[in-house]
Amino acid sequence: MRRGVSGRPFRALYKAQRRMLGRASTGWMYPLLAVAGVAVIRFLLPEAYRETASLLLAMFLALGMSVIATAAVMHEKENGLLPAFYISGVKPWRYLLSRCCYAAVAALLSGCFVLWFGDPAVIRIEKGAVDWSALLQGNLPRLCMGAALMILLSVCSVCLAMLPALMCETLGGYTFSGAVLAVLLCGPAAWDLLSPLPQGFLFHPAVLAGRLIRSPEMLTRRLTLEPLLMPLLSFALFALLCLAIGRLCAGGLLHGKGGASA
Amino acid sequence: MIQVENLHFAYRRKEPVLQEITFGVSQGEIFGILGPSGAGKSTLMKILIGLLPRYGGTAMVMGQHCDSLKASFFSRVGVDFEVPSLFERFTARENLEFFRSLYSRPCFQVDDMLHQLGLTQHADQKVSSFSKGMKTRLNFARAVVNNPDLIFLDEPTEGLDPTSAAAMKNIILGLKGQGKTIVMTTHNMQDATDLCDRVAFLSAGRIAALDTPRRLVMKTGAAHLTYTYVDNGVEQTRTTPLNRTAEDNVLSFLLKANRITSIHTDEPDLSKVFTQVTGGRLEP
Ligand SMILES: Nc1ncnc2c1ncn2[C@@H]1O[C@H](COP(=O)(O)OP(=O)(O)OP(=O)(O)O)[C@@H](O)[C@H]1O
Ligand SMILES: [Mg+2]
Repeated sequence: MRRGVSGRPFRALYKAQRRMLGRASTGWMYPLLAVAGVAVIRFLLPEAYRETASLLLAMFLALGMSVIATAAVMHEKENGLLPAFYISGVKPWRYLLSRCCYAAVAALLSGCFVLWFGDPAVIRIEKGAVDWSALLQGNLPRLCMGAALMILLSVCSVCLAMLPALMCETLGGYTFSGAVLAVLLCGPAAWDLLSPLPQGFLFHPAVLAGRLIRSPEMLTRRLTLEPLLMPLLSFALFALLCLAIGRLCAGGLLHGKGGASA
Repeated sequence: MIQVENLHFAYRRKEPVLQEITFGVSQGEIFGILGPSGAGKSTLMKILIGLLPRYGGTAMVMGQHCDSLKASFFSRVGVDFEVPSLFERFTARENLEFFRSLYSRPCFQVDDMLHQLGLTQHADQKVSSFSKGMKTRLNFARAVVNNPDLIFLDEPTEGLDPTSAAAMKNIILGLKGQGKTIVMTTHNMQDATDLCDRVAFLSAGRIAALDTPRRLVMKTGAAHLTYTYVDNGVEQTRTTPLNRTAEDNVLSFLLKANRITSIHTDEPDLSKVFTQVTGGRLEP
């Protein structure tokens, strides 16, 4: 058995992805864009802000992460790197998780950043001082919950993004499937957000994440588990499904399947 | 090291690419796989490294079946794919450092490898600005960076100038000297003759011939001697088999009379064997 494999290949793959995408475009741009987006909503729609910010952020994350993941995989595919990873003993799980790791970091950064500084409900300033008691009484768990959901959501989208990366051989195909993925990931969430109709149960990651974050339980800082149980469970199931799909596709990719391979 | 028995393979919904392949490679040997384009050389290699697990028959490498390879296999194997597999946006050194970091066993020093392959000057240049030959050399370095015991090389000298090709061949022989087993494909018959202990000719998915290059060459028949002389002001050419020169009275006479104007032998070589066993043309 190979020993000491835990950290090194994983970190190397993670770093390589960052380098490949270019430092400027991803390291800083993503959280900055997220903050800018939320700031704009806050000024343009101060009423709807509390409801929409977190959901918009979730959609933004899902879309951004899936595009970044597919772009990275396509780049590796075009350069015939995937079989080289395979022969270096990179396992599909490790490959997938190194991709998810990036998404998780971005989710954590932008999610926390925006919720913390952008949401008036999380931090309240009273008489020029931060209201720590309100923060500790319920906003902190809410923040953690929101961040966890953001991470899970972006990990799910990365896993799903492995599918078009595996299927498409051309840039055109990739762009097309990227658009389809965007519609699939964000369309229902947007509909759920904007529709004046009573909102029914929609089994969709972005919708579920958005709902959980802005559910009355969370907004009123009364974190009781019971009403959250069903959405959480279904969301967990969805996450497992995404992971399974991602693992399968990563295995196929490392074996040089889906064209443009060595 | 490698045992293959009655191996069959077909890509999905396609005609069979490989049929009834049987051979073995022992430790410390350089084994060549030769054959025309599309004969299935790269496919055979991909099966042996586990990239194409849906094959029929038996294929075992280092005691493991090729459809279920374990982690220990990958740390001991290096593969030079026919298409360069490098990060275009990294420099040569960064590429090697990256692939080195995927292994936990002791690897070769990056600077030593770059030096041996004549890439020291270009170590900090981005791979996207490399020429084809430079990429081929770096790709070779990538393949052997983990100091593997078994090395697969798919056309390692393709696109190299004669000097680089000679250097590359020396490195390959050096690796053999360290006891490593090497399986390589090539279209260059001279390289195959210089490097390989045994070669297999693949033709239409089957092994058409398998032996040492020397014995294969001998089997195609003796070499011929061709000489020219001037008779009554007209240049004449005659050919005689090398093993029958004593019976050629004209030759004996001309030799004694110092009348031969040119003489040369056409040694049979692997190219001839290639044409004979595959019935096709040799790629340059
Ligand atoms: N991914 C694939 N899907 C379907 N058929 C394939 C695939 N790869 C190769 N083939 C077919 O398998 C046959 C053997 O291909 P292979 O690449 O092994 O040839 P080769 O001997 O390596 O040729 P070359 O000397 O040109 O590299 C060819 O007829 C090719 O069309
Ligand atoms: Mg080939």
